[in-house]
This record gives sequence, structure tokens and C-alpha cells, in this order.
Amino acid sequence: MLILEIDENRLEFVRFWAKYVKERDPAIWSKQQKELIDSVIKTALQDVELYLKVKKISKEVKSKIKRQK
Amino acid sequence: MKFKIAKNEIILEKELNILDLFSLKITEIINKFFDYAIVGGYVAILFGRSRTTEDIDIIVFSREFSPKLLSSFYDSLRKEKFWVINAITPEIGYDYLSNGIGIRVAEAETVIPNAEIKLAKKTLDFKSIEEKVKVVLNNNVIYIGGLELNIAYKFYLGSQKDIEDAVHLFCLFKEILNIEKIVNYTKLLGVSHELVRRVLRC
Repeated sequence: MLILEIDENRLEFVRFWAKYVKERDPAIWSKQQKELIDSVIKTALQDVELYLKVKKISKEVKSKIKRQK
Repeated sequence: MKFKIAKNEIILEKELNILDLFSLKITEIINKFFDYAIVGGYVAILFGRSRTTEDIDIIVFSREFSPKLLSSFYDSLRKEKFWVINAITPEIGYDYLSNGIGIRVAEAETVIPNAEIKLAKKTLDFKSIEEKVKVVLNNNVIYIGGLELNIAYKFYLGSQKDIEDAVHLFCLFKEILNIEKIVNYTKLLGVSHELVRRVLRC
């Protein structure tokens, strides 16, 4: 069931990216990575109540999916 | 391979992002009180995975774990301007950790990023710490859980994102990974061998 759900195209990109990371100086990919990560985190909503509520729901959904599998 | 890898030690020089800086700060405090290993998605991100995360998962253990130890840990966190967002007092934190619930630590007045700290309870938690790998990150030391278990556990979690993390780590480190160990861990976790065989390639 799970195998059917996996997006193979995305996995191919991950393999491509891992090769890119492996073959290049970390200074190159880490600069790109920093831009991505820092921009997402700097704009993240810092609302503790909302965050914990979302985490709780996400945990419940995950365990429900796990049980169904 | 552009990382320097020795037995149980990986040396990495990179431009540090917010998550890297956060992990260095928080593990410096944790290390004073616990044996620890970083596990989960941040391990793949540390080594270049092109995604981000809100939280860094850390498994901790101390033979001296007690309300007093946790109280000192909280004091240190406060001193370094961190707070525990889901367990404000050390008493609540002790209760959470003792019952297998993680406490989430963030820098003062923030929520993201945070470290979800869990006390080692299950056999595989202890394995993560036992098989931890030293990472020298820009001359700072952090410890990550054993790579084989991390990869196997990602298959157990089973979402697209988790499988991608497993593939990323596998492709980066396949020359030094113990494949038999990955297979054994996935069996132990009840992961489909067919899935692992089909997906874990570069």
C-alpha cells in the first residue's frame, strides 16, 4: 500500500541532489541551503498556542494513519 | 565525498543556517546534563537535504535523571535564554520526560525552531545513543544517532518526506554504511523489505 503512495519522481530528485551535495564543496550547497532554511524560519509564525495545537493534531493524524496501515 | 569521514567521526565545514546554529547552542547545554544523540529529519538537513524543519529531535539519557537534575537543566536553559514551550516548570518537564513525552525547547520569545527532547526509554533509543556518531561541524562537536538506525527508522515512519530523508542519507554515506545493519533494523521495525529494496538505491 505504502509503496504505491511514494512519489518516485521526487525520490529521483533526492538522489540527484544527494549526488550534487556529495560531489561539491559544502560551501556551495550550504549557501543555497542557508537561504532556503533561514527565509522559512525567519517568516515562521511564532505563536506557541497555535504551534502546540497543530503539533497535537498532527501527532493524532499520524498515529491514526499508522494504525490503519 | 567532500566531507571528511573517519570511523565514527564526520568532519563538515559549511555555511551555518539558523537550524545549525540552534542545534549547536542547545546541544552545548544538553551535553552538560545528558548523553544525547540528534535523530530524525535534522540529520539529513545537516548533510545538505534541501528542506527545512521546525524541530530538531534529540534523545537524551542520564543515569542520574531526577527532579533535581532536571531542575538544574532548566536553570541552565533559562540562563542561556531558552524556555520550554510545552512544560514551563521543571516539575512538569520531569513528569513529561518520565512518561515518554518530549519537552520542546526554544530560544526565548520564539517557538520555531525548537528541540524536542525525549528521554531514552525503548531499546532503539538506547541504540541511537550507543551508536552515536561524532560530527565536527565548523570545529564544534555534535552527536547524531547511528546512521543505519536513522535510515531504518525513517522507513518505519514511512511518509514521503521520511523516505526521502532515508534515501538522501543512504546516497551520501553508502560507502561507510553497514547495509546488514539497516536490513536488520528495518526487519526489527516491521518495515517491508520490498519497500527498502526498491527505494534504497542511488
